[in-house]
Amino acid sequence: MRSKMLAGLLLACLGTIVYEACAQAGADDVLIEELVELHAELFAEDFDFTEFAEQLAYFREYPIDLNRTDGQDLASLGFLSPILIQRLLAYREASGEFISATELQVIEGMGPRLAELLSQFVTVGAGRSLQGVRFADLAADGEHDLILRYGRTLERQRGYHIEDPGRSRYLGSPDRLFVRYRYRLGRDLQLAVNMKKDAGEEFFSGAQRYGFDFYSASLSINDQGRIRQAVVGDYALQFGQGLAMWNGLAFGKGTMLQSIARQSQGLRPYTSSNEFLFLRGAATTLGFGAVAITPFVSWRKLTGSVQTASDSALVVGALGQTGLHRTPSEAANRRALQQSVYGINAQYQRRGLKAGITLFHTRFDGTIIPQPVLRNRYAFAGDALTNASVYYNYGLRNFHFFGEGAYQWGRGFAFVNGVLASLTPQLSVVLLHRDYQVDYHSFFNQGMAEGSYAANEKGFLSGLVYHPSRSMEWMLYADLYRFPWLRYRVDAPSQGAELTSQFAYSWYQRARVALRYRYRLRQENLRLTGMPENQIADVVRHQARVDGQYKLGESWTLRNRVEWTYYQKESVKKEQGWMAYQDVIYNRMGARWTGNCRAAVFGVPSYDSRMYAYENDVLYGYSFPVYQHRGMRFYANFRYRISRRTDLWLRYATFIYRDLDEVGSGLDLIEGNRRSDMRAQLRVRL
Amino acid sequence: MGNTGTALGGIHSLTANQAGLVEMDGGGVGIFYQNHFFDAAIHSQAVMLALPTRVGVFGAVANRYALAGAFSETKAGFAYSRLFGPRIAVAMAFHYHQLRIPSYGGSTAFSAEVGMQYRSASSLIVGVHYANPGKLGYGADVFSVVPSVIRAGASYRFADVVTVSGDIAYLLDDRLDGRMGLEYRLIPWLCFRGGLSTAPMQQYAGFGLAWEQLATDFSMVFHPRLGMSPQVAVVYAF
Repeated sequence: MRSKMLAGLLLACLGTIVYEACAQAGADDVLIEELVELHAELFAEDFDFTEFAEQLAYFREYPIDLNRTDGQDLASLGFLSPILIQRLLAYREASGEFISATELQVIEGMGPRLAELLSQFVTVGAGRSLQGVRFADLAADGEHDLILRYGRTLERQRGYHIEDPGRSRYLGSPDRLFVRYRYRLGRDLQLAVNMKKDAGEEFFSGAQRYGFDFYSASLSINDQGRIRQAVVGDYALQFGQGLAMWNGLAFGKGTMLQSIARQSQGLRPYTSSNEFLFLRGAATTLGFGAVAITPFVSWRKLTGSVQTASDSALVVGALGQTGLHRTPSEAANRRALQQSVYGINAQYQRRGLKAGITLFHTRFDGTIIPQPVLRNRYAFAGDALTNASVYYNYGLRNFHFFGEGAYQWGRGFAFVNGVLASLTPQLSVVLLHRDYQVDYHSFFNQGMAEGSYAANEKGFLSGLVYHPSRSMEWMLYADLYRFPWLRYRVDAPSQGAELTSQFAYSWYQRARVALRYRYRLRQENLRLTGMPENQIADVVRHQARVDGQYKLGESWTLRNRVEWTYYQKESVKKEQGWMAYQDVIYNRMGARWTGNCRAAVFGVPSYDSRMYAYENDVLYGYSFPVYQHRGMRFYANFRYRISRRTDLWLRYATFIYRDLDEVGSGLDLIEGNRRSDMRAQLRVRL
Repeated sequence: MGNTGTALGGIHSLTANQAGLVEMDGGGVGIFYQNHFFDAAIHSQAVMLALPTRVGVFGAVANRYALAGAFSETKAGFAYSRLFGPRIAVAMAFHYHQLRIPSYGGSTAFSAEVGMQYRSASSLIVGVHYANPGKLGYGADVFSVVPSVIRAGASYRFADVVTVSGDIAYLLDDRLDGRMGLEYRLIPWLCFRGGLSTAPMQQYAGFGLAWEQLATDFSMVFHPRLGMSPQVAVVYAF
């Protein structure tokens, strides 16, 4: 056993495998874009998708053994539908163990694109790693991975040059710093450390006198006897469909429609640098046959807008989610409120059935009292709450049923139920019904919703995916929803609709073209002169897009996009925007230099008709900028392989606007018509 | 099925594209009832009869849309459909319309409908249908119209278990409606249906039961603002 394990480790240590992981990280960006882009609005421009990308990188390094997987790790890849996973497991049961990963192509519904993608993450007959091996032996084989990243906006922004201490201003420098360290022993033990300073935050002074603004660390082990997973430090929990407890990244509607059926990962170490959606403390998953029990505790200091700290009573208006602590008031709100969470999850998993129950209590050392406006009438107020939830995933032949019911003790309920059905080999259907009461609340709620979290919403989504041949795919979904209570900027109950359709054609491993149309209807306040209160007006958005990707030989890839959008707000305005970009990607096996660049032109009259385009970045860096006004966007991103274990990335990106003499607003305002950013990153692995 | 029907067959073609009647290989009689928006006062009813003969399929239909005590519109007529060659079906229908508004008065009108379907050997049907091409109406004394609608659609049957159907309807008051529907036959006597239409944006869901010569269909129309409308249809084949 031990020699087998060591052989496995040695293999993993061979630079080639690690090297390939880097070369393919570009492909992960395309995947992330497909999975998250339809709700780009909900992500910050620099949202960190690391936890997902690291997971992909992990499975490249330690591929999933097709003959041992129970499906959970396959689900965490994000692009496989639960039905497909079921089929894969059923195939193994029926035909015996996999002899080679090329057998994947035989599985019904596994198109060439998916099979190619999946083959990067799976293997057949990998040696199991840790068991029977002494800790001391492994220590010598541990891998260290250190990333240092520096970035800044090159133009002078107003917030850095205000001297008057009475005014809002940025206290720190415009430099962004990020340190990421991983230490891994085989498959089963990992130490992760992240340190981050955002632009404008102080460094070793002021509120950040201990250096970075954000520190995060976790130590995790997998699969040691009864302990399936244990994490000390920062961790993420994902249970059910995310109505009660879901930390880290949550996929929702996307052009990969099956991602709407969440496949929860349970307990994981938290490794992203987003500063809000995680827990800090300790948690473990203990396995007892088909039952897994996960107890967890967490204590965190959160950012909150302190309203009155008079006497001893702490009152907070809202929790800060951005993780930015740049101005005197942001810095004063930093670590204002202590949150403690404890709870337990029990989950049963056997064959096609996964069912679980989660119970947890959240308490603050102050009272949260939201702004006293009508839309907040049912919002959470108080210092503690208890949440409970039950959920299920059940696969039966060509159907996959999933759902969750969540309850905030003494208050509201939230329900989501859905089915993925593969009606024929070519045709699949997705149905999802949701009913989230207005007085339901959980601080870790990331359920599938049109609003920013799953409450005050009822809706039904129906979708269709049609594969007439291995090279064609057509997807259509419609989602109709209502918000029974008021929302931000909507002073009445309102409703909306969305219709999205995409047709894609691929030439095997050479090219792919996708056409997409998207229609969205929402309602918003309309202020009419002479009226005592706001009216509600329909806001309609049409969006059409053509995406192309072509491989020119082994090393060069071209990618391009043309997008058009139309915005109309009833009795206010109509406008149209457009954008086009061309990417060139150079990625040759074994080359010292690889890189990619984009040139884009756009004409977007205002923020209302804004567009988002996901961009390639340095490894584990992400950008999802908003396009508005008229102008050009350019970026170039290079990686230089200094040695087999040391890489350097450089990135430069700029917006050049026409007809603007200042860019941005508030403290971010730049005089001139340009906004440029640079990033440099060094990665060393030992 | 999302209010599609231009490229479907069976007795319900009497209320969609009559050319689909050619699919019937025996006689049938059916009734239909819809309660609009769960409001007891607004409802639609229909009775249908279809009889295949050697020269084509004859049908008769009557339907009534009423707001109890305040408004009713009745449409009754005949339809005839036949195949020209193995693939092309053509149909015509004539309807009599009667509009009644108690304590106000009423009016009557006539209209015609024409429809055609191409029924390929490979489970594909393409259809076009034109309702009230002459734009006949109730005249100037009543503020109501007999709608004039052009529809084109296609349907495809996969492996005898799934039928997908799509229609585009152009209402001559300048409204374009896209419709889409799907039927999935889980087991021989039970099928599920769902659909979508865009103008207005509505969702549809339902199921059908078949037992010997009797077929019963239940469905619900979901309008985002007005709510749900249940429908039921019972058809007896002889």
